[in-house]
Amino acid sequence: MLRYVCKRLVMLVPIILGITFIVFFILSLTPGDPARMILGANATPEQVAAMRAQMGLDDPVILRYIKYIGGALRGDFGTSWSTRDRVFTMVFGRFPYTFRLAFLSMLLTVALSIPLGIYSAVRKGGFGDNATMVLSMVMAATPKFWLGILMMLVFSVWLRWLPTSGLSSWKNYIMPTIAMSAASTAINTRIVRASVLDVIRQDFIRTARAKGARESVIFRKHALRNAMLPVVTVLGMSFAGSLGGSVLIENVFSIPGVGLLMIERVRQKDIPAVLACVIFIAVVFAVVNLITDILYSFIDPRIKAQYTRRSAKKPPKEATAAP
Amino acid sequence: MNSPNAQSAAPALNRKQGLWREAWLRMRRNTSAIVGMALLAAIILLAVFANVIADYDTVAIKIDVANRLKPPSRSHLFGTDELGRDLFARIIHGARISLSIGFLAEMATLALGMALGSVSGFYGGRIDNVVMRFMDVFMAIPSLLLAIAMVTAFGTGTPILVLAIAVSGAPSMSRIVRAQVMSAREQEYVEAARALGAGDMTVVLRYILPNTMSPIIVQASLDMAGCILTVSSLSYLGLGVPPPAPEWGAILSAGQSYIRDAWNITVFPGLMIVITVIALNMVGDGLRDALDPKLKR
Repeated sequence: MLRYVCKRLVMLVPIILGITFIVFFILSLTPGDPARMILGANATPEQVAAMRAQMGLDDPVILRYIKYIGGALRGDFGTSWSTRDRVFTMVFGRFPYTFRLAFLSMLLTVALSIPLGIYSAVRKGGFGDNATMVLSMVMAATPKFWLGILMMLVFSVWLRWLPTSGLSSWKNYIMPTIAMSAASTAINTRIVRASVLDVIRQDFIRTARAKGARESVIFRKHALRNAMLPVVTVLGMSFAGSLGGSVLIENVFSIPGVGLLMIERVRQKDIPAVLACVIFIAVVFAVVNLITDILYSFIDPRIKAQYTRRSAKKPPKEATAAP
Repeated sequence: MNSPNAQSAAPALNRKQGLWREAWLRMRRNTSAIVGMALLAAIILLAVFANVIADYDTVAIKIDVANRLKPPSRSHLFGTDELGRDLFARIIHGARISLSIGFLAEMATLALGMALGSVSGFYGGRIDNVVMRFMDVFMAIPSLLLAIAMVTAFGTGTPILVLAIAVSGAPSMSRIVRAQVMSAREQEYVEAARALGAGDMTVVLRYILPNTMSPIIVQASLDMAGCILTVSSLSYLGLGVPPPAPEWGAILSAGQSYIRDAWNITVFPGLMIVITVIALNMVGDGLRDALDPKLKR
């Protein structure tokens, strides 16, 4: 088991290096001279040349990338081109807002999608199931930002119940959280439903019935426990999805998180800040996915068995074929 | 929806027609797929005849400040926007933009994904390993962020959007193609083609890919819905199609500033996005059930 965790952790390193390199490379292709941009139009060519040398802009991309990673490991993501602030402090200061929103929307997703999914599976084909499935289809097709604007229209402009933007009270978090979690709630409800339906059809459920266990016991002890395995994935996926979606929701509700910062800086062509924001979110995304995988392997005995069997020198193929 | 005609016009049943005919017969019984196709056909018709219904230059982008922020009425079906432009005209012209970018982006995704996936799946070994590790990295970046990075670097505009969406969509497409090619590679017809002296290119292009199309088409039709969402998201952020082009996301973004004065600017474009995406998903699900009955539970 420890070996599995270690293996996954080691695999994370090239992934993170790859992510940072791709984003760094893409953004390094931005046309225009950053030295000229910082110094303004009145700078002499000599000043610009000196600035370029100081910023290391004449080095090849690979060299600049290595320098960047070296700095990043020490928490130095460079300075902003538009405000000359330290990028790290800037991004890090914004992170709590993004994190809080992602966390809240993950909670809401789990709180809604698990009961709804179970309910749908139990009442398969009934009115409740059909209604849930139609609603989830609509929600999965609704752009997050439009849902946010629509709620703003109804609850802030028409009903005047909730504030449109700002973060003065807990009420400000209601609409962003719902808008952020609606699509992932819809998708995860389907996953939970499919997983419950899948488990109900398994042989061990038939065995439990055959030995005369009561329906309620079968459901609680045998079906639900197994069906809840994908929930870990649900948790991770919804958190990771919220990080990506934060760019949109933070813009709708003017929440000063990493996503809003990113878009502000994209407009100013402040490449170091954009770079840091993208890398920051992508790395957290990768780490969350990794944690999800590891947690899953801890919970699912089939994956655990794969690794204990391998240490007992048995072919792991059997274990993968078993479920 | 011309398959029934095609089937009566060409009764000769070769293998390919058989698949499509069978798929159509199965799809015809699937209500939601038919509804999806009808919706999609309506949107495509609106987009194709957008200029006939309301001219682009004289209606969709013509500023008429005297008529700004009007609610829906008989002369302006969806009302007017903050510059007095007819919202209905803008939205049907927006369908043009969304559908064409979505389609182009999906074609580019297919081309990239099929090239990478078939090379990777066909040759296997070290090539496969290198390509797939590379794809893993691309898949680890949330697609919206990758698109934002590309737009920041190369500027806004249709070609960049298409490229950005294709690059973020190609990895998952290449995985599907790879899996298909890997399983087809061992089939007898491939061996037969080889025995007849076919080279790698011929085997892949003429024998393997045509036989693995069904799951790829299904994935592509479902992906297109995602493309349309991404285009509108980027336009909402001001990173998509530049104004005055009436992209749905861009209309929404402008409408948000006037949310207190006019509800129509924010409601209608969003509704169009939702309807288009649902229609595409219904067609995609229907295609999956029709082309790949094994997958249906």
